Amino acid sequence: MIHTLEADGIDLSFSGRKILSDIYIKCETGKITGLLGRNGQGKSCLMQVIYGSLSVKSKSVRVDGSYIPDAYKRSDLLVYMPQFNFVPGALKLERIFRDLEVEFSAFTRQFPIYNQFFQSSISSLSGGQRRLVELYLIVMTKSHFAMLDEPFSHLSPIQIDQMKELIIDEKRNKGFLVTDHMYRHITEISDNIYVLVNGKVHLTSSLEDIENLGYAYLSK
Amino acid sequence: MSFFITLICLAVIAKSEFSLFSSMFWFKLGTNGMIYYFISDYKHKEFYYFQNLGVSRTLLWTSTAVIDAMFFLGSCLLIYLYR
Repeated sequence: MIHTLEADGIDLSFSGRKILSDIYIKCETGKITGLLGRNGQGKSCLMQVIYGSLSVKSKSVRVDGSYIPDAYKRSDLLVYMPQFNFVPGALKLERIFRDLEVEFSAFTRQFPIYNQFFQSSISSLSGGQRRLVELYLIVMTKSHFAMLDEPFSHLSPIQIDQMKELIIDEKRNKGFLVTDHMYRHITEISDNIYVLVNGKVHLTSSLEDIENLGYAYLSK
Repeated sequence: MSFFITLICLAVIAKSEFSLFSSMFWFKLGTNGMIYYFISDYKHKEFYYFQNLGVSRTLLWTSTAVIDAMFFLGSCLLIYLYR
């Protein structure tokens, strides 16, 4: 069964400056939806509004047509990886994988170097190693949808390729909303791409659309 | 931190034979408010971990506050009964 996540009617302002005003975004299970936009356009805010962790005057977030005011209370429907480290540093990998019900052995089959860290706290890992664990957990957690905010930051090129393959593979089970300034990775893996410009989202149908919206010069 | 403050309050209450109970109660309440403020500020990123487990901030704070209050008041009651 295909599930849909839709968000619209979002109105967000900071100090009188309108950040988000004319939004309609739709994700489906089995698809990767890319979200591009320049700095300060409100990509992270949009994700937080959808997730329910950022309050706004008005919004409508729906899963399969049912209104979900606080999606963060429904981890079976939606999980979210913010652009910063979010796993408490004191927790051991063993505990984290158990909490999120993700198989550690499957993780180490793909990333064998982590075998030695099973009993280590996540704060003992390097920035890139920690980010990879967090990304893997959110990608693999059982949920209809996952939102990834700058998932490829701090990862090495090989790790980025491995994670892209994993996301593409995992889209059989869930829908992804992904944003990252490494836009070539986003354009490569996404089935749909939205560009956020001046508080409005534009669904693009070609790379030229992204260029015309002033986000990047993809032909160069 | 909260546990440590509770122990100090309980020691003062026991030593003063409940004459300072009211002061310690408000001291405990005030420090809890400060702890809430600082954790909400410095640890706000880590709330996403619990939210991804389906545990909201409200549930986290409420359960922590209830356990803390029960421990504090329960210990006070025990001190009162066995003084």
